[in-house]
Order: sequence, then C-alpha cells, then structure tokens
Amino acid sequence: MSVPLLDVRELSIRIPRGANGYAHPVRGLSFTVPRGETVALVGESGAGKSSVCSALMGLLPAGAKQGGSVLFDGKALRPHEVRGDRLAMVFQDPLGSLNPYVKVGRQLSEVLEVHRGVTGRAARRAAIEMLERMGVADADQRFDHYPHQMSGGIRQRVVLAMALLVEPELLIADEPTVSLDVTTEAQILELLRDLSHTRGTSILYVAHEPAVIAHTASFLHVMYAGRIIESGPTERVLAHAAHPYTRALIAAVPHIDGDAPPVPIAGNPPEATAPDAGCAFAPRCALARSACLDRVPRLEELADQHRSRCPVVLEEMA
Amino acid sequence: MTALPVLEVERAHVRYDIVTDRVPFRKVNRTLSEPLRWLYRAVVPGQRIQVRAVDGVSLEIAEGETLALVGESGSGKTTLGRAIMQLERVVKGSIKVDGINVREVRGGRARRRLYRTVQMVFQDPRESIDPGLDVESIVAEPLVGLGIEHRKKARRARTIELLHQCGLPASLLGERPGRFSAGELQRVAICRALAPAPKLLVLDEPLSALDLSSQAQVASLLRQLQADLGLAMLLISHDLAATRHIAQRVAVMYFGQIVEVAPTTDLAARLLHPYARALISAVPQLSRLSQTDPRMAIQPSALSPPPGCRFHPRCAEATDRCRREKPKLKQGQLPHPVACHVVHDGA
Ligand SMILES: Nc1ncnc2c1ncn2[C@@H]1O[C@H](COP(=O)(O)OP(=O)(O)OP(=O)(O)O)[C@@H](O)[C@H]1O
Ligand SMILES: Nc1ncnc2c1ncn2[C@@H]1O[C@H](COP(=O)(O)OP(=O)(O)O)[C@@H](O)[C@H]1O
Ligand SMILES: Nc1ncnc2c1ncn2[C@@H]1O[C@H](COP(=O)(O)OP(=O)(O)O)[C@@H](O)[C@H]1O
Ligand code: SF4
Ligand code: SF4
Ligand code: SF4
Ligand SMILES: [Mg+2]
Ligand SMILES: [Mg+2]
Ligand SMILES: [Mg+2]
Repeated sequence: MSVPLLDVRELSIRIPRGANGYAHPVRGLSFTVPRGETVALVGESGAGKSSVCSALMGLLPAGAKQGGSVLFDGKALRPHEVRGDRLAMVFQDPLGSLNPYVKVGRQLSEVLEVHRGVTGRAARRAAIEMLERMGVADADQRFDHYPHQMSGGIRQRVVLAMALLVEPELLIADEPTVSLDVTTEAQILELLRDLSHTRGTSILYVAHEPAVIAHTASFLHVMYAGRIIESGPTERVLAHAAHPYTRALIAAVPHIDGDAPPVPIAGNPPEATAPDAGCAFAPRCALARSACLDRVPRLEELADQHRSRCPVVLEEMA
Repeated sequence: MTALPVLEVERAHVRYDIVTDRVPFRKVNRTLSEPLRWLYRAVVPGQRIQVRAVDGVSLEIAEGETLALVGESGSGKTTLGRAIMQLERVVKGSIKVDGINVREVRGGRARRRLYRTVQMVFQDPRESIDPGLDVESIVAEPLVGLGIEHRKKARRARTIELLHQCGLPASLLGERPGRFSAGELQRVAICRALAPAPKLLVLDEPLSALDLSSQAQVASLLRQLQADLGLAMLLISHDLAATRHIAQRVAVMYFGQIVEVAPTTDLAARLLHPYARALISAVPQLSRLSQTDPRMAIQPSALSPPPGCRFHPRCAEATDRCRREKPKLKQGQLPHPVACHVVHDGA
C-alpha cells in the first residue's frame, strides 16, 4: 500500500486556559488522508475539529502543546514550509481569509507571486482562469472588486480559488459551507468533488453534520470530545453506524422527504477542560452502563476498515 | 368558525432609501448588508437609490399556526420580519398583527401593546443576549419594559414558569449565559420572547447558528410551544428540511416576493415553482446527492431586478413570455398558489 499523503498519529492538543488550567480539545487522534481521497471529520461544535485543522496548519495559539506525530508525504509535517503551497486551508468564514482593503485580484495574484514566482499578466490570467473554474461569473470584472462587494457565496469561491491556485496536494476545508445558502452549498460541494476527480487533490473536509459529506467524502471519521469514536467508509458507517453517538447524529439530520422529524441529542458534550472519565458520551447515551465509566473505550475494528469505540454495541452485534 | 388571522400582510412594500453621499464608507461598511455596502462604492455620490426589499407581499397566519418563510439570503425575509415589528417602515400595503395595523402604531403605549402581541427572536443568540446579565434579568426584561409585572416576587414566579416551558431548569435563574452553548442561549432567547405571552412569534433564522443536535432541540421546543400555548409563528429560514417539521405551511420568497405557498406535508413532492424545486434539490441529504443547475450560480443583483419573472435568468424552464411578463401569485387550477407561467400552463 502506498504512503498516505497525510498520516496523523495520536495527535493531542493542550491549550492553557485560566490561571493554571488547560483545555484538552484533542485527545489522541489518528487518521490518514490517502492521496486523491476526500476524508471527512464530522462532529458537534466543540468536538475539536477546528483544533485539529489549526494544528495541521501550524496555527495553534501560543502556549499550546501538541503531542503525537503528523506525517505529510511520509515526512514529519512542518506546516510553515508547506502551508499555502502543498497544503492549503479554507475556513468557515471567507471574510476572515481575505484582506478587506485589497482587491481580490491582487490577493490572488500575490499568492502566485509568492509561491510560484508568476507575476503580471500571467498571474492575472491564471487567477481569472481559476475564478472561472470555481464558477465565478464575470471573473475578469470580479478581479477588481473588494471582498465586501461580493455575496458570501462568491467570496467563498474566491477563497477556494486562492487556496487552489497553487495546486495544493492537500486541501483542508473547515465547515466551508455553513454560512451559505443550500444552493451555494451544493455548488461548492460539486466543485470539490470535481477537483478531487480531475486533479486528484486530497481533501480533509470538516462538517458538523453527516448529510453534507455523505456523497462527497469516501471515508468518514466521527469525532466526539477530542477523539474519533467511529470511522470507516462513508457509506458503510452511515448505513451501519455502530456507535450510539453516530446513530444519534444521523437521527438528528432533518429529511426533506418522509414524516420522521429530526431527533435531538439530549444534553451537551463535555467541556474541553473536563478530565477523561470513561466513555465521554456516557452522560447522553441511552445504552450506557456502569462499566462504560471505567475507562475510555478502545477503537475496535468490527469489519474491514470500520471501527467503533463502543464495546456495548460491539457485543450486541457479535 | 372563522378565527381572525393573527398576522395579515396585504401587498406590503418595504424599501430601503439610500442617499449615497452622507455616511462615511467605514461606518456604512459596518452597519449595512452587502449590496448596500457595494452601492456606496459603486454609485455616484448624492444619488438616491431604492432597494425594494419587500415588494408586494401578502400572507396570513391563523391562530396557533406556524408559517415558514423560506428563501436564499437577500430575498427579503428579515426585512419582512422587521417590518412586522415596526423596525422597518411599510410604505405601501398593510401589516396587521391581531387586528393592530402596524403602520398606524405610534407612541409608547401603542408600541407596548404591539410588543405584547408579537415578539421576535433573532438569528444569533450570542449577539441578541447580553452575556453580562443573569438569566432572570434577561428573561424578565420584557415584563419590566412592557410594564406587565412590577412585583418582584410575581416576576420571579413567571420567569420560573417560562424557563420550565422552554425545558430549562429553574436553577439557571442566577447564572450568566457566558458559558452556555448556542442551543441553550437560543432557548433563553425564545424564553424571553415568550415573557409577554405574545400571540405571534417572529423567529429570524433561529436554527442557522446552531449545530445539528441543538437545531433539533430548538425545533422540538418550538413544536412543543405550538401544542402547549397555541402560539402562532413566522419561522424565517433558508432551510426547508429543518423547518418543514415545525411549520404547517411554507411560503417561498424570492427577490422580495412570495412565489409559492404550500402545506408542509409531503413538501418535496408538493412544491411546484422552479425556484422552490431548486431549493429542494440542493438540500444536502443522506439518501441522495444534492443537485444544482449551473444556472443557479448566477447571483441576481438586488439593485436591478430582472424584468418579467425575476427568476428567469436562473430558471431552466424560462420561455420568452417569462422574460417579458411578471407571473402573479395565484391558485388557478393548482392545489395551492404559485407564481409561475409555465406551472400554470401545465396544470
Ligand atoms: N460590487 C458589486 N458589483 C456587482 N455586483 C455586486 C456587487 N456587490 C454585490 N453584487 C451583487 O448583488 C447581489 C446580491 O448580493 P448579496 O450580497 O445580497 O448576496 P446575498 O443574498 O447576501 O448572498 P450570500 O448569502 O451569498 O451572502 C449579488 O448578485 C452580488 O453578486
Ligand atoms: N485557543 C483556545 N483556547 C482554549 N480553548 C480552546 C481554544 N481553541 C479551542 N478550544 C476549546 O477546544 C474545544 C474544541 O474546539 P474546536 O476545535 O474549535 O471544536 P470544533 O471545531 O469541533 O467546534 C472547545 O471546547 C474549545 O472551547
Ligand atoms: N438596513 C438596510 N438598508 C438597506 N438595504 C437593506 C438593509 N437591510 C437589508 N437590505 C437589503 O434588502 C434586501 C433584503 O434583505 P433581508 O431582508 O435581510 O433578506 P433575507 O433576510 O432574506 O436574507 C437585500 O437586498 C438587502 O441587502
Ligand atoms: S461505551 Fe457505553 S456510554 Fe459509551 S457509547 Fe457505548 S454504550 Fe454508550
Ligand atoms: S411534519 Fe410530520 S413529524 Fe413533523 S411535526 Fe409535522 S406531523 Fe409531526
Ligand atoms: S415564470 Fe418562467 S422563469 Fe419564472 S419560474 Fe416560471 S418558468 Fe421559470
Ligand atoms: Mg470549528
Ligand atoms: Mg446546512
Ligand atoms: Mg436575513
């Protein structure tokens, strides 16, 4: 088997908080992104998804401690060496990635100048071409616009264009569509699928709900309280979820057909400051028993590539 | 029995008038929504411009009924909600809340009467709630502000009752919401809106700042409130899948106008307007791939509505007639009102 493009092993992140406390948003996370694949990281807000992205981009706050290892193309990842070049990220809020005082065209061509040494006319042409590929109409006019002159959907396309101009090998997309209309969301997802097919770009797609990635990611990791609690081929996990949290998340998706309303998950996820006390989902889990609180359950394989961190369901299925 | 509608909107128009030379750009940038910010840059200073944000909307909500108002961002949903609260001026047509003509509400007393009848909940609870206050002061604020309950003891009792109605424990009374999750905060905001016992609640995107499980929690609270209090609601949202389980009917808004009004049962099969169909097929679902016509990528400009049917540049069904003639919202031979030439011709 070939070396995965991204190989995250036992990643853990601690961030100092308060006088002598700390938040522990990521608690031993391992996953890979194979070349040319789209891998999804899904979980409620506070699960630690953005912290993982920040670590990969080398953007954790000062004082944060990172444990475990991250291999990029087989070598230890040095974010500042590959960021904006072989590795690019798109954030939830497109405005955050754009300079409000600089025309978007300038911002796009600057990326090419810095990372590819392409300047002037050639840079402009490449930037406009990329905007067009991202489905921006009148790309040559947009080139001279400021970020605030665009709707959220167009801005997110510009940010995507900027990330993709350098043809990164890995694109990290942290909830890139949450603030957009469903119509725009569907277009952006289509764009990403196309990108992965035609260019073989690897994508780590972060979402808070499974419906968004159901038909875009080939592999799915469900994250809860800083850990992966279930993972496997997307279709398989969604059809045969083997962790009560994954099942609850799926039941909370509203459907456009049928009568079943979405089912809320009672209670809240634990705070990132809470110490480990057995299965983190136990306070909200209908299947919980006292043994669940003894230790953090292990991630166990129940079928080819399909793993879950719930011994109770595992036993049930055996 | 013909109960009076709680909300009656008749051919309402709301326009934003802008004169371009007054406000410095920096300030505009912070306070206006996008196309307007653009205007200040793109337009000759001193020019007067009107954005027809709500352009001849008629709709009704019966007692205890929930109507979802759905459409992409910029379609005028928030503006209509704000006009109901008298936060925007209705320049033509009328809005009546439980018989009160909002256009004629003047002075403190009339306003207080309006706000006892209708309350609004905003999209992001982190912006609409002061994190420095405790839950009791937040929830009881309308009781004081609208002069409903002056006695402290009775106010506390009412506050506890309200928390209970919203599925929140009384132990929250003294807490500050700084550490609450967005879902809990939104429930506190709904709780506050219920304080004056309004007949109508206007909810502007109450789910969109929340993650999936909080969305489902707030949705089930809203269903509960309908059943327990017989509350009428205008549920503004861009999410058809989430709202159809709360509302009995849905009104689809495009470019300041209502293009379809339909019951929410079997919604996906029922909606007929090409724009409504496009919204449906774009919803991400576990069971199927979301889809969009490439034409949907065209972003219409709020400043120059297309002639004829406003949806025609993005519509796969558009004919020459669509480019010339405005379709009217009417039922005709259809099961419910739709504003589309082609749908009516095919009926
Ligand atoms: N400077 C500009 N030049 C040309 N068109 C513009 C400019 N600024 C905005 N527009 C257009 O005005 C229309 C409305 O933009 P608006 O910002 O209202 O979108 P929106 O509905 O808020 O969408 P979103 O949800 O994506 O933010 C869009 O077609 C947009 O492209
Ligand atoms: N800079 C930080 N300082 C302290 N705590 C943080 C910081 N960043 C994130 N956290 C905490 O870590 C947890 C996970 O956050 P995040 O990674 O943003 O989750 P997600 O992206 O899944 O919503 C949260 O509880 C958050 O409060
Ligand atoms: N305060 C304002 N001043 C001028 N124009 C506005 C203002 N608020 C909204 N608009 C414009 O009115 C239209 C409808 O906006 P809005 O009601 O916010 O739509 P929605 O809630 O459906 O997203 C948009 O074109 C918007 O830019
Ligand atoms: S380990 Fe126990 S508490 Fe955790 S998900 Fe499984 S059954 Fe529930
Ligand atoms: S849509 Fe169906 S399931 Fe949802 S509330 Fe209405 S009747 Fe109940
Ligand atoms: S009237 Fe014509 S352009 Fe408008 S929605 Fe119907 S078919 Fe499309
Ligand atoms: Mg995040
Ligand atoms: Mg969504
Ligand atoms: Mg709005």
